[in-house]
Amino acid sequence: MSPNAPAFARVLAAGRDEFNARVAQARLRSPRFDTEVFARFLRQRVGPLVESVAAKSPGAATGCAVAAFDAVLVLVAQGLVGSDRRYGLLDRTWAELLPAMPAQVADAPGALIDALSNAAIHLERTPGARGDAWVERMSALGARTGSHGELLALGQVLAWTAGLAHYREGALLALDRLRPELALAALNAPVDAAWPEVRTRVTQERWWSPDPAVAMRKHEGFKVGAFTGFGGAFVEPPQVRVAAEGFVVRSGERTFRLLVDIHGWSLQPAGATEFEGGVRERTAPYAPPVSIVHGALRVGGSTRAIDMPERGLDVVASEDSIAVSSPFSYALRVSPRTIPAT
Amino acid sequence: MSLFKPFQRVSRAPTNPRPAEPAPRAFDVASLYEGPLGAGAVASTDATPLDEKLRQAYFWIVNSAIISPHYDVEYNEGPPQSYIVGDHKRPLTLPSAQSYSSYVLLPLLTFATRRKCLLVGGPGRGKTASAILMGVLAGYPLREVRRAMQHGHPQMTIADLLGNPLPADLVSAQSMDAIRIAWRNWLSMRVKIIDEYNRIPTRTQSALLTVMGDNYAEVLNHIFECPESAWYLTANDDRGGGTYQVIEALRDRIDVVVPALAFNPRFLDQLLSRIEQNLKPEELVPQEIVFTEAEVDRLGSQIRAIELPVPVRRRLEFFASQFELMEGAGAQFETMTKDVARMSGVEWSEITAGDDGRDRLKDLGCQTRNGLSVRNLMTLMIYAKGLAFFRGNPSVDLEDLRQVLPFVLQDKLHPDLEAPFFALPENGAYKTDRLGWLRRLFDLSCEEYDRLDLDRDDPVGDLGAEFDRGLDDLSERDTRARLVRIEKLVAERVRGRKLYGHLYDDLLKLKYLHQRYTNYLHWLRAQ
Repeated sequence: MSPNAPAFARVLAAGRDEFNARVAQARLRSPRFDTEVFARFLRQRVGPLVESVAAKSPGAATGCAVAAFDAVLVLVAQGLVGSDRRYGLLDRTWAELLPAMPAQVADAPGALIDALSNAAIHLERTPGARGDAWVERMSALGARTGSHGELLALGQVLAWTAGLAHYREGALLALDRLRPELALAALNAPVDAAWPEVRTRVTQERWWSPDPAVAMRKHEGFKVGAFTGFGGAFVEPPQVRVAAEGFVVRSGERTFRLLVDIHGWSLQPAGATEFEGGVRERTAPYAPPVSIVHGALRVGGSTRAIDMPERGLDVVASEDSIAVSSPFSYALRVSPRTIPAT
Repeated sequence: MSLFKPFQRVSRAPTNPRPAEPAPRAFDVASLYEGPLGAGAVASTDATPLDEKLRQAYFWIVNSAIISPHYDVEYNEGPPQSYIVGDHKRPLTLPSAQSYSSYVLLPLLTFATRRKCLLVGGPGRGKTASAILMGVLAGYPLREVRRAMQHGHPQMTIADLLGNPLPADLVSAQSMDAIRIAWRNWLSMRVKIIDEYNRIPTRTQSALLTVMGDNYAEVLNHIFECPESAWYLTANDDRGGGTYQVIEALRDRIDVVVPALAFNPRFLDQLLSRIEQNLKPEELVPQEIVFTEAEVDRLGSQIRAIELPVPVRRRLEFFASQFELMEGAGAQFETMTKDVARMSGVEWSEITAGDDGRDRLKDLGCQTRNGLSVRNLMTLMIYAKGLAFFRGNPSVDLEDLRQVLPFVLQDKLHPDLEAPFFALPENGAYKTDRLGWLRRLFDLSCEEYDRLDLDRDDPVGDLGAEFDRGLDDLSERDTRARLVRIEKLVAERVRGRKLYGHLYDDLLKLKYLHQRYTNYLHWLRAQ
């Protein structure tokens, strides 16, 4: 390791006995702890990270090495890194994201390594989330943050825009912890956009985004969920109702809350009684009427095609979103009730 | 360099998850950074509930500190898998719910309730180590805990235990008040450890009794008031087989007795690892499971607030009723008790020889040589509440009571090994396994309670509840009606029946109610 990672090698040499004791203890506590995987991850991921931090801030190398070492002990013990590609996003976080922001890592190595690794695992495990986009956007923008606190706020915003719709409210608050130019960049807004206007619209209009590529989704909507046999959440074709916030979905004996916006959708566990408390429609001033006509979705004066059989189609609508279910499909179709102006 | 994190990792909450209706929640974006690593940089700062913290302490101790892979405090949700093993056909049960090791659980409940725990067992079984861990959990530095631990030895004097008068004052003081005392530091600690207490000379035991019982120490007329504390005493032999006989009053002050369980050599690798890595668990207690003084205060008040439902309390009452009656001991109804027999000095065998009216096999009272004291019952209820709290429940289950009962009573309820119950071949093991016997005794009591259908048909309880509603505005006519009902019930109860412990207590309760109504009637007439 020393030819490529001299700083890391020095730290390991200085604390050799204690590092070895930690590995021995981890092996004892976790029979599946793989020392080969551990050594490889140290060599391929931790070494370069420590070197990038040492190059930026030599005094922070030891703290970074110790924090990374401890984190990798846990990750290997829990089988979260290794040849299994289920956690490819975690690997990318260590390979690309962390070394891309040495100043921020040097600022708070333990907190940042833990937080970003946890976030990667979270995104990896959330159906429909676009974790790779999160890593790429974080890598691109992370170095522009002024502190690890701002970096974490950026991570929250980008996790929301990567499809974690249930974080919408918190992410909107996190936007306010970013400098305006960074907030605009996080939303991929044009550089000349006015932040106060963007901030207002993004809060008020669930299906609006200043990013033209994202804004296209307002026409497509989302296919939500899948059969459990194919890795989805639904054991039977789901039924849906409108809840106080978003939708509530029942499939077999399981109930979920469905939160959706322009960036994606998220299914969260809900209580069985919540479905009974749901309604078929919540309306708002200027919300167009919604119905199924000859197998198509009629919204105000326009008609949208539905890729499901006509028989048994059911539609419910909240103030800003529409959900269509079918007894012949394990996926819901969710789209905006009103198409926002560009 | 940071501390040894893997060894110091605390079990993640919830440690006793329940199937519950997911509560409506606002999704917290901070949870993005929560996961297997650390606590998350911006994780919620909400304080961990104390029951959760207590469970985390338990799981850290059993997973990282004390190798006690025994689950003898068994809980089940639905029928457990059970196997019959060996020539003696003993059941091996695989519990279907979260179960616990008594050797860790009871000391921890003692810590939470600030009671007194005796750890017994052969040398080298981790008794002292367990006690030290409890001191560290209370927030004391390890060095301070070790220094404050009192080691019993045959030359231990009262001054060794409590403190010395200052020598200069002894020479120059004109009065006792002028003599200053250098009190021993351990007296002011909230966790007190007495190692090998049965090696302390009898006279010094008496001084210890004052501290344990009344929470103060006295030297030369000077008083030191001790704070509320959890006590841990250790002994190699709980039957008083130390250097000195332990005085009975001291033994009676001990709330629970916890035997050390045998080490399972299948776990030798963990011992080996400790040797090789020079690990000392007591030096590595994670800060997350250390309790502040205020937290222990709150633990105590939260435990006291746990509900003991009436149906559970009634079964405890019924159980406790079984043991005090001894018909041959008294000429008056109130004195027919084992306590009267014991104080008389008459040989036990002589008294029991005359006790031939009842079915001595069926009567649970015949299995013991004494009854339960008020202190025993109070301890039982507080530990049952403590266990319910530990499990995260708002009220005590019958199983909570059943699980703590043997540990509270094993040195309090003494078996009469000459009783017919112990002569049955299937009960032979209960002569040596006192915990098992007490649990069986409670089960038999509950079976009898069910047979009598006392949950639904308890006229004495109904009368008591009626009285508890108060006498305000009760007319003379209604009072007389109640007196008649009591007299009828007494007549019905005594008609052609043998006298058993629970019936004896029912009759005493009826007599009490009768007397209260009689007094009230006299008062009414005087108005």
